[in-house]
Amino acid sequence: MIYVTGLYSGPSPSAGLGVARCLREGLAKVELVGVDFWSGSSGLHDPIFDRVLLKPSWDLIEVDLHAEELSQALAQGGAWLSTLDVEIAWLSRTFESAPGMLTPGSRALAQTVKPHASIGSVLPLREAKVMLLSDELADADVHEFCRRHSWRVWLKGPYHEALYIRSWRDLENARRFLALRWKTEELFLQAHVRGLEESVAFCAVNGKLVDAVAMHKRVTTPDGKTWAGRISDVAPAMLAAVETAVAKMNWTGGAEIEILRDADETAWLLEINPRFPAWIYGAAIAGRNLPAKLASAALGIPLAPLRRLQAQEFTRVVSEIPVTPAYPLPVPAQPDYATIGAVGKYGAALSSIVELLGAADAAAAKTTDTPKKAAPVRPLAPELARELDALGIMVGATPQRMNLEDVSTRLFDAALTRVVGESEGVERRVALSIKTAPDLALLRQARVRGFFAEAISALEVRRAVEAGFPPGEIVLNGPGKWWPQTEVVPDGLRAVFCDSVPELERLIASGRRDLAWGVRLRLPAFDSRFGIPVEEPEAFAALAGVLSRIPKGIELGVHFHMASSGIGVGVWLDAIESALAWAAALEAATGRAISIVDMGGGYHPDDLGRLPWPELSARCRERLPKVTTVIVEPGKALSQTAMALATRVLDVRRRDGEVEEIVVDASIAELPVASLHPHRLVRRSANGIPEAIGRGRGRVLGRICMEDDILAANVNLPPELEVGDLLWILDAGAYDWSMSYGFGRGGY
Amino acid sequence: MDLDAAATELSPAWQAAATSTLVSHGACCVQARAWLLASARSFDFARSDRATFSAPRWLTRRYVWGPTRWPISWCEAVKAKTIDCGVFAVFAREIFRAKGIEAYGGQVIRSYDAASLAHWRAKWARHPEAFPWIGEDQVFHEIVVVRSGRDTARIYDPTDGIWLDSGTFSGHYGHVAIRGDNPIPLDWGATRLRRGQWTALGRAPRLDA
Repeated sequence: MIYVTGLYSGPSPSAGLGVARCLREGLAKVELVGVDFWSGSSGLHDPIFDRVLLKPSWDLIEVDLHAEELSQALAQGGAWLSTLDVEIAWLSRTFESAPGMLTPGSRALAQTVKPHASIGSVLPLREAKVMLLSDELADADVHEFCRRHSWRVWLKGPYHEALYIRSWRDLENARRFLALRWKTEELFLQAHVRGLEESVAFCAVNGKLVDAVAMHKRVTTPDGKTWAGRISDVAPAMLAAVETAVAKMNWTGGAEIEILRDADETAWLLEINPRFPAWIYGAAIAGRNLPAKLASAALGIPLAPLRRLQAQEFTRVVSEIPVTPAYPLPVPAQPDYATIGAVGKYGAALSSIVELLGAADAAAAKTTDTPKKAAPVRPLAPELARELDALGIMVGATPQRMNLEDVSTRLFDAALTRVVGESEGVERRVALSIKTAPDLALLRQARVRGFFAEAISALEVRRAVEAGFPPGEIVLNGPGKWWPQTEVVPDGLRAVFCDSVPELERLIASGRRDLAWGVRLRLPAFDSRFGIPVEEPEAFAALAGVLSRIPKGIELGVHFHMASSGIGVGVWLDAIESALAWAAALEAATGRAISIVDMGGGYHPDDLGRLPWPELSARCRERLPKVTTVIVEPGKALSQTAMALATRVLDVRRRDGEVEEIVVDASIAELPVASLHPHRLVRRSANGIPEAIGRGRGRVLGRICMEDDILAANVNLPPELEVGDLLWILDAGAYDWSMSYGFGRGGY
Repeated sequence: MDLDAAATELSPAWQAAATSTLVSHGACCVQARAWLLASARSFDFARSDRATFSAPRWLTRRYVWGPTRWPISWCEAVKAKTIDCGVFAVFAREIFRAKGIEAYGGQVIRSYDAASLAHWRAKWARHPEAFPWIGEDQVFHEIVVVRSGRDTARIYDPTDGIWLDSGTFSGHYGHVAIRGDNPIPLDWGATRLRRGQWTALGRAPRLDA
């Protein structure tokens, strides 16, 4: 008798039904018992089973009784073949390698655990970069990981589920959702790999490989699950590696190695599942019945005469079957307006096993007397702590934004040394983006270092002139750059970049004289409302025609702007390559040389100094032989971290002795981009020293009556916090400053 | 398997057909080609993917497959809404080459279900001047031979945006023969491609179109 668990058979099915079909077809004689934990699992009604067991869902099951029943089944000569990852984890701890248990033991399983399956090192596969999330990890590091991988990352749960992440806000929301759903903070990020999916399924007994097959997905469900595929032999190198891995782990049971193959045909390991895949009957159709071979090798059940190969390819169909009267379908619950996190495969019940496993871990930790450690917090840089300390005595009425002048000086100096320069005959100039920090002091910092000023309106041009910039050191951009029309924009600007062809035509007809005119490009494949689209050949030709009419004495330039902090560093570098390709195409189409390339702004403070500026200059020269100047327009990179917002606690809300929420006198009016990037939180410690607050479960709520006035949702609020305490919210410059507004101040 | 004997059964038009090329008028066509290559770079993402052989999948999204009136120039082809496999192949070949990848013209004989072929005959019937690419149950189709290693090749079908599977030889969308312009012999799976020679794939094709 073989018990097969995991009978859910919806669009993202468990493997139980496929495994049962394989066993029925491949073994000479066998009694099959289907086991599931939800009456909605459609495999319960399949006639393939001699009988079925419907156990309570995992949040209601009596675990000890379940273990006892399972022990009895094994003792009576039965075998247990689970196709549920989480159940397998529980089985491995509860039964280790009991006779009849056709699943891996805990030591074997430990080598396949996400995110770093240690056994992956013996497989001829590359591993996608991962980051294990924890409260110990600084948000800044998580943000950096996402930028480095161009915001193409997956947030994955411990056993199931993956959510695609495109922004910091996405990540914070998804992290909360998965943590709640799986009742664990053990989540991880995995860099996305663009490729086609394939798998290797194998089975083994006591470390000896029984069989393995490869499957290439041909048709997938909208969730990317296999719907149809092609079965083939495993490549020799991979097969040898699987054999080694199986022996090393002393594996028993089925398994699936999920692989992505990229455009260069490099194979990447996605994950190793410790059970047969749901498509496993597709392999039996191709003459490779792995579950039957496993059962035969492990239990000595004779194999049925080998069924001849029907096809190398398989597909699924949707089919209705009668419901077994003994297991009527569950009646749906009354529709609810509350947020429903889990609908479908097992609902929230499987997460209860995760909780169970977590409790076992905690119990194990307790028995070994491992002290519970508080999550370490990355300390503030000493110079920053000193500067905050000095400013502390100057804080008056809060909220109060304060310049961190030492930080600011370091940022400007770093831009001067790391960005400004000359290579391959191309000079690189920094133009401070005025909109991110319209402050005379900052503009003067830029001026004394020889930076340009970048304006997006006539008023910003006036501000630059007031700060001492001559017109020849001002760059003018934006869709409404001539506003307000009552302002006179002086001639002789370093560069004017138009946002549309009609604007360029008006500029040519205006009689103005500037040093350079150009266009901002809206690149195909990059979503933006700005710039001139070139996606249609006709539009490109029209643009080339107007550019050709720019007077000969005026230099030609192209401008591209897409925030690298938002699209990630890799994609930003692709965007630059793309912009240069379009600039070269414009040169070919107009016969005019382009001498200025403006790479825009939007750099994260940590990325500005790391980008390969000399290499980028060289690339400009390679694509545009007459280019002389590259302009870089950092704004937030020079001011985001150079301001702190002092705020005081207005209310402290405790639960079970812990501070759950605080209300502060700052709000999203002073911190309008609070949810777009991490903001460090600092408090004054008992001995008066500024001290960083780490990640936790607490929330910092703003003072205004807006539902989204949540300044931080994941912080470890100190228990001693009291009303009136002073906090610093760092990283509060740039757009947090220039876009702040006066909401909730009664007009004062 | 070489098709020295079987090749004589190929339709004379298919045997004689050379790899498609586009006409150039001069400046307008230079501009059109520049537009194509710049567009291709925008959709490539080679730097963030760190992949050399990413193919111009965007062509399939941008252009609809259908009859093309030949000869056609660059400036006409890029503006067309509908292009045939010959134009798709020229575009993809140029894009691969601009990336520094060796790419050559090539053709496959592909088998199709008769129910599909009937519709394509009807679609092309309105263009009697078009190349006779549809046989009884097989078609002549242009692809790109991409050199992927010292003596290996991959076959890209830009019309459908897929890399062909070197193991699918029969049935609807099966490939029964292939020919490439690659100057040196290249292996595509178990098949050796020699310049200008038709090679049967898997089993001898019914080359009776």
